[in-house]
Amino acid sequence: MVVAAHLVPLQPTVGPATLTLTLSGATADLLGQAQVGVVGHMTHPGMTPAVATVIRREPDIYDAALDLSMPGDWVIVATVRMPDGRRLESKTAVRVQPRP
Amino acid sequence: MFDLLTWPVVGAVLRWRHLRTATRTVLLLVAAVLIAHGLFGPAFAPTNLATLGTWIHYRGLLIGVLLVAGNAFCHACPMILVRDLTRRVHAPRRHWPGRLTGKWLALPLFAAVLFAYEAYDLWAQPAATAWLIVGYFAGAIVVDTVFKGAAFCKYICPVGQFNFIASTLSPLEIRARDTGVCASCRTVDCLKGRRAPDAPQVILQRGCELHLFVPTKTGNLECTFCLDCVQACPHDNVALAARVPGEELADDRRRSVIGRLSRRPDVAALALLFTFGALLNAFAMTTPVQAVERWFVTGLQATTDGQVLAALFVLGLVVLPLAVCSAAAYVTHLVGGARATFTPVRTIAVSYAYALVPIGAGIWLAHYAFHFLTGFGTIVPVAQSAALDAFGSPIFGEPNWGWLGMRPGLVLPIQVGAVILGGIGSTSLIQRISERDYRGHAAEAGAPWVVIAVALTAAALWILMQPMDMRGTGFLS
Repeated sequence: MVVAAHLVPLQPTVGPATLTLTLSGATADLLGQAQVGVVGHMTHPGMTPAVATVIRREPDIYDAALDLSMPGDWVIVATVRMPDGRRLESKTAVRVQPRP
Repeated sequence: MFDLLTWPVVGAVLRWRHLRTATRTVLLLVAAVLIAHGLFGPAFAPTNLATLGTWIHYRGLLIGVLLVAGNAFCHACPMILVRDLTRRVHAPRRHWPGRLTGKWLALPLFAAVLFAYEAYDLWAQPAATAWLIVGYFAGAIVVDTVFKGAAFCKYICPVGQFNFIASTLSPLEIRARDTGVCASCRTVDCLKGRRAPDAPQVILQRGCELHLFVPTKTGNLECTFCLDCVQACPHDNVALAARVPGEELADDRRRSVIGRLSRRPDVAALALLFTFGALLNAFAMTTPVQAVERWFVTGLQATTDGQVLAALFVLGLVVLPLAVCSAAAYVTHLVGGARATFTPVRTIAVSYAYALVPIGAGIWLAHYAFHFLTGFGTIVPVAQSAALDAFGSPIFGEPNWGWLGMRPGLVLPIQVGAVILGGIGSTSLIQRISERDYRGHAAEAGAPWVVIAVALTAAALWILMQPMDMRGTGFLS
């Protein structure tokens, strides 16, 4: 099973960004029952994480809307829990630029 | 006299003979968890207890407790518990070398910790943080099994030096209830401790390991709040008393072990390192620091991150404090009246350097309070995550990242208040020192130091207003 993540915009500034997750390697039925959570963390511990609102667009595609509140290094962690107990994680490192 | 030891419940708890062992055991367990998670947990700092617990919660609580109560974290230091156990196996036989007394060895170690934090992005390195904790324990054990007393606390421990300086602003201090009782005391148990009459090698109660003599002790410098003196005094004559925070920094009376502050350039240097280190540590987290780094790269033709950082540290922690304090002391020497004319510039600089501690503490508080107050709730999901990793099942529940702290916008007024209060405290101390040393010329004598305090306050406020840049992947990234 594979989780592919794609961030838009690719080089975000402070503000909203969307992480799109594409799941593959399982039946459409299983993928449709996956529980997906996305949290953006700054690399500095203790900073307010960005907890995403996740919407299932298609059985295998999820959109996570994030609000990246501060410039700096972020890692966006997507956790997928399958109904059969499998747990997958995808990490996307990104440098958020200050607002122009 | 306001004496916390006489309060019901609180006093009884503080006097409890096993309080230190209990608090140290708790912190030892916490340290063990941090080390284990740092070494074996996730390498991603925001989800690791070592980085979160050390750099957010420990530091935030440390400065907060120092300023609202006293040196509680030295009191509960788990390294002393381990050290005491080790000393049962190997008792120290040597005295700390006389030429290494003072703070001259502790100063570069304190600066080295600040440097390492920036150079190696320790906040982003759980394993390195765990090894740093292990290193502290190893250092305490090695030093204190070779040398008698509290050599590690007094001459080496960087956290201890931070605590000693910050505790000068604490509202509580250990002091004698009645110095008349001390005058008639013939045993000085508070200093020497008590030994078994028939077996002098057996210590029944330890006296002050830092050699502070309660009746001549002034303030909190060098005091670890261990309360050994409280336990040792046969006359129940030791108080945990309230006092005016910071007042001791303008008190130049001869004090136990330390002597007169104006004759201690090493302690003054520690005060300056504390203050300018606060500014540099906060500045390093902002976006404009990158412009300074680029300037260093161009101007000094530095080729490595370490060179740039070293240059920034030498400038910020050595050149700048020495330059501004020397200049201010020289002006005081010129305009402070007859007494100032006959006082060496160095002595003037040493006397006034202590007045900058409050603004330093204000900056440390503003910085650490931001991280602690905005991130204290994240310990919950990180602990849940650690339990999930350790036990394979969510015994504390699934990690809930909804646990946050205060919004940064709400913390900003607290930060601004801390810095301004620090600036007012420094200005007030400058006035006190000027009145003490240069009566009749106090305003002129203190003016250049007020300029420094105002400049530091303005610089700190400017830093607070800068966008933060949380880099975790190299200083020049």
